[in-house]
Amino acid sequence: MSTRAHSCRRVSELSSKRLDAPLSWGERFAVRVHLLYCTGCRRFAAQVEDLRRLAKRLG
Amino acid sequence: MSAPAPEADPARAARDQELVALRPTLLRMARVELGDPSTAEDVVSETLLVLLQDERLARAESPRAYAVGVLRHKIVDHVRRVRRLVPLDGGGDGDDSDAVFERAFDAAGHWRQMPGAWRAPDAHAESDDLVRALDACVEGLPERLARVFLMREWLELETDAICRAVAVKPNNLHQLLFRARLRLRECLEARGIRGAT
Repeated sequence: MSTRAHSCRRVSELSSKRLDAPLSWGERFAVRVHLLYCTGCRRFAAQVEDLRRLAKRLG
Repeated sequence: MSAPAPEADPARAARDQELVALRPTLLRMARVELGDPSTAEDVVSETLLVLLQDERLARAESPRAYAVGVLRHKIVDHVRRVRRLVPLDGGGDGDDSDAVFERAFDAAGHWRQMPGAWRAPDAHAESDDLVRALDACVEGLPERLARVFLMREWLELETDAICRAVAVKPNNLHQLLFRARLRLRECLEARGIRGAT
C-alpha cells in the first residue's frame, strides 16, 4: 500500500470494511482526512450504509 | 374453544394461499444462502409449517415481512449449526473479480465517475422501488458475492460466522463484501437511482 495520500479505491475499501470490522487507528485517521476533501468517497461511504438499510428490507 | 374447521374459515384459507404464494421468494433466498437446493427446500418447508400454525402471522402488519423474518431465523440457525456450507461458483474466487475495480477506478485509484448523492432511503418516497431495484441487482451478482452480501446485510450474521460458513479468511471476506457493494451501487446507479445531486 502506498504511503502517499490514500487513493479513492483504498479509502472506499476501508469504508466498506468499517461496516464489518473495527478499523485500526491509522486506517480511521486516513479515511477521515480523505473524506474531508473527497466528495466521491464521502458519497460512497453513505451509499454502503444505504445499502445496509435497504438490504434489511429484502425478501 | 369451538374453532371452526380450517376449511370453513375463509380468512385462514386466504392466509394459507398467501403463504403458498410466498414460497418461491422464500426458496430463492434460502437457495442463495444455503447453496444446496434440497436443504433450502427443507428449511423453507419447516418455515411454512411454523407459519401455518403461527397466529401472530394474521396480526402481522406485513405478513410477508413476518414470514421472511421467520425464514431468516431458520437460515441463521442452520448456518450457525453446520460446519461449512456448500461452496458456490465452484468454490473458486470466481467471476470477473477485478473488472468491477477497473470500471470504478482509474489506474491511480481515483473514481472514474463520481458516485451519486443518494437521498436517504428511509426518507425516500420511492423507497419500495429502491428495495425492488436492490433485489434485482443482488440477483445479478455472482452467487458467491450475493451469498456473502446477504449473509452480512440481510441475515446480519457476524463476520466470523460467515468466514466459517463459506471458508474464507477475514481479509478475503472484506474483499468479497467490498466487491459486492461496489457492484450493487454501480447497478443501482445504472438503474437511475441517483437522487438529487
